[in-house]
Amino acid sequence: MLKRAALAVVAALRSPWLRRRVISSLVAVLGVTVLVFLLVHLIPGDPIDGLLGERADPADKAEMRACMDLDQPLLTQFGRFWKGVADGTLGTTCPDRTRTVASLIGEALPSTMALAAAGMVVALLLALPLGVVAALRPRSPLDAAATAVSLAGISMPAMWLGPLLLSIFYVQLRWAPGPADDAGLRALVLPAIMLGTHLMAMLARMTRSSLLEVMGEDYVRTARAKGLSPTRVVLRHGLRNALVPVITVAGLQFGSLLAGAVVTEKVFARAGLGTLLLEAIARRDYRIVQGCTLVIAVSYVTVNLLVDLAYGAADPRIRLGGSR
Amino acid sequence: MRRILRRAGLGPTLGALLLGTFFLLALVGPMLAPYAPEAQSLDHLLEGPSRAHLLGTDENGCDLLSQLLYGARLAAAVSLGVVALCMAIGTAIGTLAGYVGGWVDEAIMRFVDVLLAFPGILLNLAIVALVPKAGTGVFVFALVVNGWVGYARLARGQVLEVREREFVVAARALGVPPLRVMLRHIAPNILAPLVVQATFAFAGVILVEASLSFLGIGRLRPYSWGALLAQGTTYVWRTQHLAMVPGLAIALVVLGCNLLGDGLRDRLDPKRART
Repeated sequence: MLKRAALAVVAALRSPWLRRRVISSLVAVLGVTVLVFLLVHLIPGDPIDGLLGERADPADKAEMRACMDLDQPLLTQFGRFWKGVADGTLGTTCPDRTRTVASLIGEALPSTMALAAAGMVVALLLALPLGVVAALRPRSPLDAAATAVSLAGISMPAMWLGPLLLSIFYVQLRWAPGPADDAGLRALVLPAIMLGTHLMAMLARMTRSSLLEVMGEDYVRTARAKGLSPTRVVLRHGLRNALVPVITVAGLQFGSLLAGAVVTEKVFARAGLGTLLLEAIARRDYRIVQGCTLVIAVSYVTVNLLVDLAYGAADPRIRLGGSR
Repeated sequence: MRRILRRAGLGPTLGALLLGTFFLLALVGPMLAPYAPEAQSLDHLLEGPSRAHLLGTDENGCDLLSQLLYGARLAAAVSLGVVALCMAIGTAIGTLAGYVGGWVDEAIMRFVDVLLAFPGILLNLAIVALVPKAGTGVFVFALVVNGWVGYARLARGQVLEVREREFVVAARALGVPPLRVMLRHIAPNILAPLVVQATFAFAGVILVEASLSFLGIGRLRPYSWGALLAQGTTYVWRTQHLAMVPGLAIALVVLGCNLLGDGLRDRLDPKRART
C-alpha cells in the first residue's frame, strides 16, 4: 500500500501536469504579493500619519519614514520587500528595528494554525455522521433533520454564533472557559465550533450527495449481492469512495478557515495571525500587513497544491488527463 | 399554492417566500417603520420588546424594528449591486476567455488564479480598511474586485462547451461578427448556472458585510444589518434580543438564498443537480 502510494507520487512528480501545477502556484503567490504591495502603496493617505498621528514630531516622522523605506521610490521599496522575503525576515518592524516581521508572525501563527485545525476536526467529526445518516435513509425524518441542521449551519452568521455560544456555555452554564481564561485545549472548543460550523454544514451536504451517488454504483450492488452486511457495504465500499471529493473540498477550505480565524479570534479575544493582521491594518503598519497576507497566501496555495497532488496520486485520470 | 408546492418542492418555495418577503420589506419597509432609524428616545435604553418599540431599543434608545427595516433596504441595494456587477463583469470576461482562447484565455485565467489564491474576505477587508473614510462605494468595489472571478470561471467553462455546438458554428459560418455571436448566441445559453451562482452569492455579500462590520471595518451605516448584529453582540451579556433579531434576520435571508439556490440548481442545471 505504502509502496504503491510512493510510486504514484514519484510518477506524479515526473508528469508535466505537476510541473504546470507547481508553476501556476508560484505565479499565483507572486501575483498575490504584487497585488498586496500595490494595494497597500497605491491607497491615498500618509501611513506615517496613521502610525504616529498627524501632530507627531517631524523628526520622528522622518525617522519612521526612513525605517519603513517610504522615502524610497516604489521600485526600491518593492526590491527591499523581496529581499526581506528572500532572507526570511520579511523586514524589520518599525520603529523597533531589532525585531523582524517574521518573528512576530512566528509567534502568532501556531495559535491560528491550532484554531484552524481544531475547526477542521469539528467540521469533519460532525459532518460525516450527519451526511451518512442522511444518505442512508433518504427522504426519512432523519434525513430531514440532518438537512435542517446543515442548512442552519450554512445560514447562521459566524459572528452571531460565537457570542451566542459564549453567552450560553460560559455566562449561563459555566461549562466552557471564557475569552480571557487560560485553559489550554479546553479554550479551543467553543472557538473551534464557531469556526467549523459553516464548513461542517457544507461537508455534511457534500457527504450526503456523494454517498447517495456512490450507493447507486454497480460495485456497491455487487457487494450487496455478495451478501455483505449493510454496515460493511456502506463503510468499506460506499463511504470510502464517497469521501474522496469530501476530503478534497475539506482540504481546499483550510485556507478559508485561516481567513475565518480573524473573526473568531476577535470574538474570543485570542492572539493569532488574524489579530496581528487586524491591529496592523488599524495602525497602517504596511510591513506587517504585507507579511501576514504573504504568509496566508503561501499557506493557502501550498495546501491547495498538496490536496491536488494527493488527488492526482489517487486518481490517475487527473495526472494523466491533459493540461488542466 | 398546493400546485406550486408540489412542482417546486418545499425548500425552494420556502426560499422564494423568504427572499420575497425580504425584498418586499426592503421596498416598503422605510414607509412602515414607526420611527426614523437614528431617532433616539433617551428614556428607553436597551429595552426589550414593548408596545411602543415592538422589537425593543438599543443602547442609544433607537427603535430596533425601524433600524431593521431601513437596514433591509440597504442590504438589498448593496447585495443586488455587488452581485449584478460581479455577474456582468465575470460573464463578460469569462465569455471572452472561452470564446477567443489562446493567450487571451491563458492570461485571463492566470489572473483569475491569482485572485483565487487568496481568501477572498481578507482582500475585501484589506481594501475597505486601508481606504480612508471608506463608504458604500468602496465597500461595493472591494467585493467586486474578487467577486467576479467565480462567474468568469463558470462562464468560460460553459462557453467552451457551447462554442462547438452547431448553432454557434452555423452562426460563425454565416459570417456573424464575434461580438454578436457572443451576445446573441452564446450568452443566453450559458446563463442558467450563472444565475444559480448569483443566488448563492447574494447571501455571501450579506455575510461579508456582517463580518466586516463586526470587525469594526467599513460600517456602511449605523443601521446596516451587520452593524446592528455587531453592536448587539457587545451587549449579549446583558440582553439577548439586540443580537438575536438582526442575527435571525441575516440567517433567514441567507437560508432563503440557499434554499432557492438549491432549487434553481436542480431545475436549471440538471447535470449538477443533487442526487
